[in-house]
Amino acid sequence: MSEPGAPFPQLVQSVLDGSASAEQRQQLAHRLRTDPALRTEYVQQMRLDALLHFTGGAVAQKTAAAAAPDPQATPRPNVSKFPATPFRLMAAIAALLLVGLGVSTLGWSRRGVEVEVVRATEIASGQWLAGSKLRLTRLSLAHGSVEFQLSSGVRLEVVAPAELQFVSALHVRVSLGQVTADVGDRGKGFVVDTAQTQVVDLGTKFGVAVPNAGHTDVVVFQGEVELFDRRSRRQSDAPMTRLVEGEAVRVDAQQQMSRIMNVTSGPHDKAWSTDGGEAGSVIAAVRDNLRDPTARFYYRILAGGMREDAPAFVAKRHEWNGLDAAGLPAELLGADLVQTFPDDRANTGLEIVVSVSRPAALYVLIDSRHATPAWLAATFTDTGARIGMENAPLLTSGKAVGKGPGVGNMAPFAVWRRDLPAGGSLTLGPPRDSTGDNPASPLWMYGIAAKPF
Amino acid sequence: MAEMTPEQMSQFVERLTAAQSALYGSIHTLLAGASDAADVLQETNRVLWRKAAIYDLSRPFLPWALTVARFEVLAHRKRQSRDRLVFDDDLLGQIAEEYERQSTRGGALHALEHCLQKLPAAQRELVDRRYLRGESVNDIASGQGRAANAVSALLYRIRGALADCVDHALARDEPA
Repeated sequence: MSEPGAPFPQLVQSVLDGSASAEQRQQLAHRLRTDPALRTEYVQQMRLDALLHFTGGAVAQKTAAAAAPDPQATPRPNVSKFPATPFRLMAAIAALLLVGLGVSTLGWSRRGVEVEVVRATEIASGQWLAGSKLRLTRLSLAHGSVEFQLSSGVRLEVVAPAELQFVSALHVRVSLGQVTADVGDRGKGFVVDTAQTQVVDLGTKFGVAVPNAGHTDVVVFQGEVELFDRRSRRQSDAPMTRLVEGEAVRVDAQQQMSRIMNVTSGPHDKAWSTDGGEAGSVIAAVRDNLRDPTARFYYRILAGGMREDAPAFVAKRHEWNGLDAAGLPAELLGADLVQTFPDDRANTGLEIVVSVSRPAALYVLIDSRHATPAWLAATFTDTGARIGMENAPLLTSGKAVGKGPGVGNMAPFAVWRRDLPAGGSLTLGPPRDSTGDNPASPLWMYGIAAKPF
Repeated sequence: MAEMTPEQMSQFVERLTAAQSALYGSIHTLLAGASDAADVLQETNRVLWRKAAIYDLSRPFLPWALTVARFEVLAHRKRQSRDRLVFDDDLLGQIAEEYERQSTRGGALHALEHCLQKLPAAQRELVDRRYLRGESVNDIASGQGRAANAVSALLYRIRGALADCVDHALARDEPA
């Protein structure tokens, strides 16, 4: 039988290469529909193509062996306990299928994990071109940062110095460096291993930092993650802890966890740091007198973060805005911003110590509908400026947060200022005194900002 | 629904693991080589896990798993734009049946290793470049000073020969 158009092998190769035109796809479908023998041949070709991809070309196992992960070094889930929750189920499946059960998954790793370079900065070698696709088994990054997208949809930003191993599109190991994972819907169950812990994503954006000091910092920006003890993962499915948005924890070599008080970053979670780092904020540290050892929430410091629609609180949608179309006052724009905890509004024993690294103006943004706390009136000056705190609609309402100044349900906040001409630390009190409150309107936690002179 | 015992779960995991290459092959075939086959495999694995407790261990695993994979491909196709689809539902069903017919025996990966060793050196080199190093057909062709169509045709013949070899090896090892 003679058919018009391209030879059948060429049609098959074009779909395998992803280069088939719409016309070629139609031709292929037509021939498969009308010729059972070609259908048999097509399946045979695709089956072998898949097997060859799956093994990564078993002919070259010797050269591939160096790139293959060490299955003995990888914790496996305890399959005798069926996971109790959907999240746990997905995490266990992801670990099970992508970590180390048998030759099939190793075969994938042998040919590396496909990544697409989204963005790269300050890379001395210039080898990371945006849009290029690569297969990686390991990554050593000496300078700068690279952002990848994996085939699982997970976006990874890696900041040097970094050493990573790509086990699969849903699993990486970090032995050094800082990695931020934006997991998205398809990447749920994404796993990051470090020497101290295993982080299993439950649908989120989170960061992992492994400095030389032998500990792992885990920071959750959105959603939640579970942390597992890598040493005991084979014996138990129970996580060491679960972290939600706005929480962070440091895991040391003995698997002991401690609170991370501050996370500093530029806009959009970029260039974050748990030790002040290089984000460039004048606010060096914020700490409070909370003594609860189980507290995991961190103060978020946003370098230059005071702008329209800036997030006001940790893990909330409320925003700072100008009260009207005139917008935020000029002296506040571009200031470094601290996201505080809304629940602290009721804590009349609260003390927050803010440290600035150089001469700066320190601002407290406080609900102006209520009596000014005595400590604030005594140590700060009311600038007379008023800004708005947009009380965001509940997520379940389906309503969006307003955009720009003067939009949305605004509560008026007064801008109080204290100059610190020599830098240093200052202790702030609670958002209200124990008496003299105005019960007619809700009281919000105050905000903190600072701007260098 | 009764919970599986640890032993049953262990058997299930063993079968699911052994079926991975066949499942991937099925999805790869039904999606005509689309790059998201691995994602659909993941989703198929999730569904199989969810159904683990209702799976009858006395029945063959692969046909059941291939049926689940086929439904996941159909679900995945619904999320794609029409211009990315290669096969309509009827054709997809015919191809799925043909795939199942060709994939009833386990051990294909092991047989493939054996068959690859029998390839002439030049053909092994070509398979290596295409499937281990991930080089495109065009790159291989330009590196060898040949036409891309000629390389495609050679790969086609090699895959055909390997398929015959694998099927022959599996049939030979199958108990009478």
